[in-house]
Amino acid sequence: MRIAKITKSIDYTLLGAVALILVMGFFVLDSATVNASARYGINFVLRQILWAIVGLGAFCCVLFIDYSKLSKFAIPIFALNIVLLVATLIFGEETNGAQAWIPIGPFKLQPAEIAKILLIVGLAQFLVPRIGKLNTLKDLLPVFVYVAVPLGLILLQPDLGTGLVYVAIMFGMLLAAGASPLLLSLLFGGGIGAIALAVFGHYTWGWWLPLKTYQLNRLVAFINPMVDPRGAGWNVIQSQIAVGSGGLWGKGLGMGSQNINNFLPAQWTDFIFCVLAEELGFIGAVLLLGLFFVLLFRGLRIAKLAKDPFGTLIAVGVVSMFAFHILQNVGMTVGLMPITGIPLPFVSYGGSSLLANMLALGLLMNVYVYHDDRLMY
Amino acid sequence: MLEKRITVFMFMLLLPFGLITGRLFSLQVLQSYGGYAESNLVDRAVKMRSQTLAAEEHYRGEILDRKMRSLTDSRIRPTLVAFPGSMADVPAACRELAAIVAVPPEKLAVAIQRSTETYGRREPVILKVNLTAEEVGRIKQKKIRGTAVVPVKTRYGENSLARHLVGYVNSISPEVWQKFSREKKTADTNNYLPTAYRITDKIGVAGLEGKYEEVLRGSRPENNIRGIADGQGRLLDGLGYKISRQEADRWRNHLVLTIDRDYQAIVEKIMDEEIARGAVAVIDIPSGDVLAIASRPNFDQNLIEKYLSGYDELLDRSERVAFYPGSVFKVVVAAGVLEENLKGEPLSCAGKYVFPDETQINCTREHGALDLKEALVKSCNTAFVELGLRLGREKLTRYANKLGLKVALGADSPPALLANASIGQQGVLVSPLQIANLYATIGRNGVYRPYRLVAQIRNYQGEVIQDFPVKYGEQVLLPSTCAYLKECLTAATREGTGRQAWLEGKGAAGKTGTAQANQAGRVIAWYAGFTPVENPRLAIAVMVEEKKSGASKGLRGGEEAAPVFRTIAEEIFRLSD
Repeated sequence: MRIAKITKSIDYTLLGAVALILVMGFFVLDSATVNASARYGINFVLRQILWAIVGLGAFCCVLFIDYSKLSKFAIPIFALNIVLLVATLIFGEETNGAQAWIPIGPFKLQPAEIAKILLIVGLAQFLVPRIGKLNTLKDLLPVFVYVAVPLGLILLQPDLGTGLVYVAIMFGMLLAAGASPLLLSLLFGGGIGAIALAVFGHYTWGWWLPLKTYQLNRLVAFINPMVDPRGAGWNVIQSQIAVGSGGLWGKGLGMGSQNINNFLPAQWTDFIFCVLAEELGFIGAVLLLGLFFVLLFRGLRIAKLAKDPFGTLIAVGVVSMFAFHILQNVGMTVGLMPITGIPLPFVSYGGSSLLANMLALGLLMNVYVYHDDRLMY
Repeated sequence: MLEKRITVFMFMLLLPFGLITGRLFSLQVLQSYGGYAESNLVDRAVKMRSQTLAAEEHYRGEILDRKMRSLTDSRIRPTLVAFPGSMADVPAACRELAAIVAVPPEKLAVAIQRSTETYGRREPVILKVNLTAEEVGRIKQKKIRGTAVVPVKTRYGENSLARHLVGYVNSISPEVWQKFSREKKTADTNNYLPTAYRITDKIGVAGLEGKYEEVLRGSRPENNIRGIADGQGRLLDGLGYKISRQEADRWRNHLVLTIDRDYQAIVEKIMDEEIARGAVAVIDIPSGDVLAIASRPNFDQNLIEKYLSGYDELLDRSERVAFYPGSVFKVVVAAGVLEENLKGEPLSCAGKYVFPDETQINCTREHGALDLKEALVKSCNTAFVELGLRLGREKLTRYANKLGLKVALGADSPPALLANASIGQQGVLVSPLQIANLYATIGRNGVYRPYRLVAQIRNYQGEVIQDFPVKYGEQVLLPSTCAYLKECLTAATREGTGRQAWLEGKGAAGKTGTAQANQAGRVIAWYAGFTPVENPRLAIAVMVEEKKSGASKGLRGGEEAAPVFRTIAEEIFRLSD
């Protein structure tokens, strides 16, 4: 009875868009891992499909619990978030310079991915009583403190990319919760300005910066990749070359020379969009972007339809997370954003990320399934 | 309140999506299809992917023969190159490669390690030059990650000639490196010297390569390969390589020798057939130019380390090792006797010469009474001991010096030593090249001229920047003396000990020699002379320490060296007439 009700009230446009993104992702992943599968003896696509199935299970589980019940667990959720992140710092394995992985049996999990969802739920509950009362810096301060704790733990790993996702989620939810747009703009602009000044100061007067050399080089390479085309600028140049050489129709799956010849860095995770753009061309890239747009748009629609502010804020949090991932990831491959390693949702290879995204999708769908049946407009 | 904000959100999303779509359109459609030829990303992709690598093993000038042909057989050949950046497992790859190219795996690994430390992982390393077709096939079949076979100009090929004269290059020894550092000739001590040495460079350490190191050394490769490489800088198979010529290397100069590659090849071919240990020198009599010079055993210039412990192969027996000349030296004594008019009294041979202190020098047989000519033809030791004693130490030394030889006899040396020197057994040490020049002088009717090996130094454009002209000759012997000696030597070859050197039609004038080496029973067989008898052109010295058959005892100049002289002369004449 309940299953029938749930299946009847699912947003199939949203689900369909995600399904199409996933399928596109499998094909592109197959092409992107031609060399890597042979080298590591791993069938990446099969693993990704298995994770998608696991994720689908998680998605369904989430659907059965009315999200509004979660509001009672705000404190345990915050506590769980902190425990997860602290555990990562203690038990985590170091890969690529970040202590981000916890080995569980044959798998390695990235708790920071799950932590994003916990943050969304927790922050939503934290913001509900503050809606409409977020007009001064003093009002915002508790929110910053709430986010700063997990954010600090993430930066300790250190994982700058995921940390930026937290910031994006916070800004998105604050905006939805009615915080003063002027204040937010000032904070955002001020933040960018402060970073620019710090980097400038670092190079001019030798200021200390909490960034590693490679991260600084990325910033410099973003501004002018030709400073060091075979070093820091390599990724910027190669990814744009891959995208550009795709042309209108692309070179065809498995035919991208930038991909096949390993010119692309991390071509099955962070730079998978390059493979898609090279092999499926402008048409394929715009198709994927369109599907993502549908995902975000339907997500915001759900935020509007939600039966309570808690649901709205959860939906906005999930959309903010997806939006930041998508725009940052695609933006860096086309040279609009500096390079920061965060995955493209549902497309990049990675179990934790896919599982977390399916959970987030479940949460979003949950808000839709349990919303008041009466349409609001 | 919330709803309004979310509508704002929806519009806010449009902006970045629009930006990204616009950017994609610009990158993928506008820039890909004309209009922006300059920034065409497809072109740029190709440019980024093409990798240039030096297609020259050593950046050095050529060593050329008198007709500007390479003596080292420098040419473009398949070469095994490693790209350390894309090698998955260096030790494993080295083991696999070592099995194919017959170089110890540790050596390959060290070469890769040294290059990586000095130039980084993107820089390719030459592992083995001059691959055979079979090796190329096996390497291509194995498809070892991070390796490729590419055409590289290598300095020494299998047809490399006059290897002892040319010498070889080798790694810079620590002492030499320190010397270069003191002299500010290394890349880390001198930023402005284009030919500055780097620690992994090879330098000329022997022969002309060593002597003319500064002349030959260049600054950069003249040949480059442009290839399409993948992300790790590894050349892609099947896409083809293009040999692109950079602008010329203005620092390198070429050495032009007097050697004739064709004659040199003849000499070396015959030596490889006949002589295991020995040397041959061929001089062009009118000019004094060395046309061919070779030493055996030979060595491989690409595998120098192999010989450094034994050293025998690397010895240049033709020019840098001195031997007892034996009877070929008797012409010097004869020349002195003739010039000094001392041949008056007749000579006699009783099979040996006995000194007052009862030491004796044996002759080959009891020759009885003979004159100077007969003594030379029959190579009588007794007679030449007598003549040497008549001539005396000072005059013998003077005539030897005039003819470009050194006699080491102290003022207090006993008569027996002088006697031994007169028959080329003691106190006289000569190289085959000096002996060839001695007979060239006689063939030139007494005009002595130092032999010449290097004719010119030419710059990178082929212009002569230094000429070593033929030296003006000096009349050291009277023409009449030489005419008489020529008669004697002709007879010695026609009907004497050197019969096997006689050329039909052209004849030959020369002398055999059989000198005792230091070890008991070991002898050195000589034949030196010139041909044709009329208007002599070639002076040839042949020295045999060990036959190809392995025989090194009981060698005799007339049996072992003389036939080699004849074959060489015949083949050279066949080619030049």
